[in-house]
Amino acid sequence: MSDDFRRIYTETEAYVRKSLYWMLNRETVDDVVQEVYVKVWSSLEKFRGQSSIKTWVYRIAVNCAYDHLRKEKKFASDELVDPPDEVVNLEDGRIQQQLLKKAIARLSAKQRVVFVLFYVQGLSIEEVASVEGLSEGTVKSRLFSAREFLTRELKKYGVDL
Amino acid sequence: MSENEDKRFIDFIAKNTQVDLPKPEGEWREIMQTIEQKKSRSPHFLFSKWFLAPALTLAATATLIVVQRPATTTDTELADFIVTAQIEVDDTLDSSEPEISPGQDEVNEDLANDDLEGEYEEIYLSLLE
Repeated sequence: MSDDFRRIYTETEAYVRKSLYWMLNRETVDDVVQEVYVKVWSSLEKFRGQSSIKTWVYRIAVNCAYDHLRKEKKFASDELVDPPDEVVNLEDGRIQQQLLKKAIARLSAKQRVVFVLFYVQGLSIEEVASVEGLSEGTVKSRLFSAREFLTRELKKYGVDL
Repeated sequence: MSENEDKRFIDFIAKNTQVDLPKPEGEWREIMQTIEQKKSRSPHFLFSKWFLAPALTLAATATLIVVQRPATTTDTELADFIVTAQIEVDDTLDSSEPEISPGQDEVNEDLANDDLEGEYEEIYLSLLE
């Protein structure tokens, strides 16, 4: 089992870390990654192969993210630098990324998780539904709301999408 | 949202979500250490199947022995008691008065009255003389 566990960690760690980065405060990400894999280990015997192992690991990661989001209530916005009020150099990739992270941080936890899995990580609607245990309709609805919200938020900073 | 807007949005997200997140050094070791600590404290580990199976077998055997033994003793004691009690009842029946059949009391009383009447007759006749 130890070899299987090592392989799962190697194959999924980068994905899990990136997902959590966009869902949580940067400072907590590495701790939560460890928490995810401790849970993966303790639940590995219960894995019945009803979904792919990656989907199963992502589900554990998402559940851990929700636990932390409940504790934190808000994330990231404190560590982000507010963009200048008037002049925003939108050609600067770093500023754009900070703007995006700040905007994502203002999404509700449910919208944020769905948004990250679909737009940032490139999962299909069906895969997101499987990871979250939701219907595809609910996933689409949350994605639509999240996207509307982000478009409005980014527009405030001159990012017209 | 038009197809063009859709593409712009997806491109913007894809371009601005590229992050380099290096894996912290020694993360795997730390995960394994946490797991080892949890395992050593876990009741599941303490009562693993290798320990639990023989322990359960032993407990079941011990229970069977404990349950079986008093049952045998009780049976034996009960049998002894019944035999003893039967002997005592038999002895008691042997030494008791003969059994009186129904109506026998009335017959005996009539006989006694007959005897008394004979005695009264004898006394009356002797007085007349």
